Amino acid sequence: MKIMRYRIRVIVSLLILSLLAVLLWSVRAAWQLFVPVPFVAESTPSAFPVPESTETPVTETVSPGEESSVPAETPTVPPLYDTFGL
Amino acid sequence: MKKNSSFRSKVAAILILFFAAAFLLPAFRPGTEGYPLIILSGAVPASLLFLLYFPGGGSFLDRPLLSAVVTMSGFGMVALSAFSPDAALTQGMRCLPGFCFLLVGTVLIRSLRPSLPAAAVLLLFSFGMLVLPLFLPSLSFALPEGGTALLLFSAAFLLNLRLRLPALLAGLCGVLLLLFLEDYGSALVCSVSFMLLFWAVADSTLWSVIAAGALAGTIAGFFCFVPPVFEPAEFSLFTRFAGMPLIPPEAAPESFSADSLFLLLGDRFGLIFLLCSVVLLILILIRGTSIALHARKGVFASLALTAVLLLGLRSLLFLAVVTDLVPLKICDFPFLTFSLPSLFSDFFLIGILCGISGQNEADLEEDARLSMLAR
Repeated sequence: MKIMRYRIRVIVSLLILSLLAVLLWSVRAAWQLFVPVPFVAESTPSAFPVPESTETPVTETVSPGEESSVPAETPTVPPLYDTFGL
Repeated sequence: MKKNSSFRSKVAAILILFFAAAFLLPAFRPGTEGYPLIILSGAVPASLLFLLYFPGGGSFLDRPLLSAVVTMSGFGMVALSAFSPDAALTQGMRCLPGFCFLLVGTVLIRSLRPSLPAAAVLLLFSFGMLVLPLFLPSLSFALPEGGTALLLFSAAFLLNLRLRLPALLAGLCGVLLLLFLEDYGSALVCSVSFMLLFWAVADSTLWSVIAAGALAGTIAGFFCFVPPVFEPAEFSLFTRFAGMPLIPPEAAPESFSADSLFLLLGDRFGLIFLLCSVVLLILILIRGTSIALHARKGVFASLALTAVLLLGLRSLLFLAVVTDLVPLKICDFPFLTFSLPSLFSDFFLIGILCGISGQNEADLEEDARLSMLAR
C-alpha cells in the first residue's frame, strides 16, 4: 500500500506538471503570435529608393487676392539663347 | 475545525456573490430576456449553499470537491449567458441529471465490493457502451467516456484481485475497440490511463513492462493493418486560441460557434478566465489524489486514481489538441462541454470520488469508535 501511495503521488504530480507546462507554453506561444513586431525603418531597405532632394521645399500660405512672393517653378526645358551661348 | 468552517464560509460567500452578480447584472440589461438569468442567479448559489451546509452531507458528499465542480459548471453557464440566456438555462438543466449520475457513482462505490462477478459485469457494460455505435449506426451520440471509465474500473478490480493477465487482456480489447471506432483521442487516454494504473496497482515491474509493451505493440500492429484516418481541420484551433483577449473584452462577441464551451469561455472572458478554469480543475485533481491517498483499501485507492487519471488526461489531451500539438479531433474539457454523455461521465467520476471520500470518513469514525472502546 505504501508503494502504491508513492506511485500515485508520482503519477499525479507528473500529470499536473504536464497540464501546467502545456498551458503555459500555449499562452506564451499565443502571446508571441499576436504581439505586433515594431517596424524598424533603417534595417529594411526600400524597394523603390527615393532620390534625396538638396533643396528644402518652400511653403507659404497665400491668402486670396495676394500674390505669392515665392517665384513660380522654372520650366525644365532651357531657353534657346542659353543653348547657343547667347 | 473553527478555521475550516470560517474558510468554508468565506469561500462560499465569494462564490455566491460572484455567481449572483454574474447572472443578475446582465439580466437587467435593456433588451435582454432576464428570467432565465434570474432563475440561474438563484439556482447556482442555492446549490452551492446546499452542498456546503447540508447537514449530514459530509458522510457521502465531498464538500470541497463538489463546490469546485459546481463552480466549474457555473462558469460554463456564465459564459453562455453572455450570448443567449436560454442557452445558459439549458446548460443548467443539463447539469441537473448529471447530479443524478453523481449519486449513482456514490451509491455504487458504497455498495459494490471488488469481486470477479462485479468486474465481469462492469466489463460487459463497458464493451456494450463502446460497441453501441456499431450496432446502432443511426445513434447521434457515442459513449466512449463512460465505456472507458467502466473498463478501467473493471481493470482496477481485476488488478486488486491479482488477476493481471485478465486485466491486461481487458485493457487491450478496450483500446482495440476504440481504435476500430476511430476514436483515437479516447484510445490514447484509455491506453495511457491503463498503463499508469497497471504500474501503480500491479505491484510488479515485470508485469508493468509487459503491459506497456503489449499496449504499444497492439497499437502499432493495428496501425500497420489499418492506417490511421486523420481528418484535416477546417481551421487552426490554435489561431482561435491565440486570438482570445487576455482580459474580458467590453462587449461580448456577436456570435458563437458551439464547438467547445471551454473556447467560448475564452472568447467571452479572456485567457485569464481559462487559466482560472484549468487551476480549478487542478484543484479537483489534487482533492481526488488526497482521497486516493487516504483510502484504507487498495481497491478504493486504485478507483480514485482511475477517476483522477481520466479527468486529468482528458484535459491534457484537450489542451494539446487546441494548441495544435496533437492532430486529433477536438474532445471535451471536463464539465465545460455541450456533450451530455461526456458531462454525465464527468459527474459519475466525481460521484466515485465522493463515495470513496465517504468510505474514508466512515473508516476514520470506525477507528475513533474502536479507540474509544479500547479505552
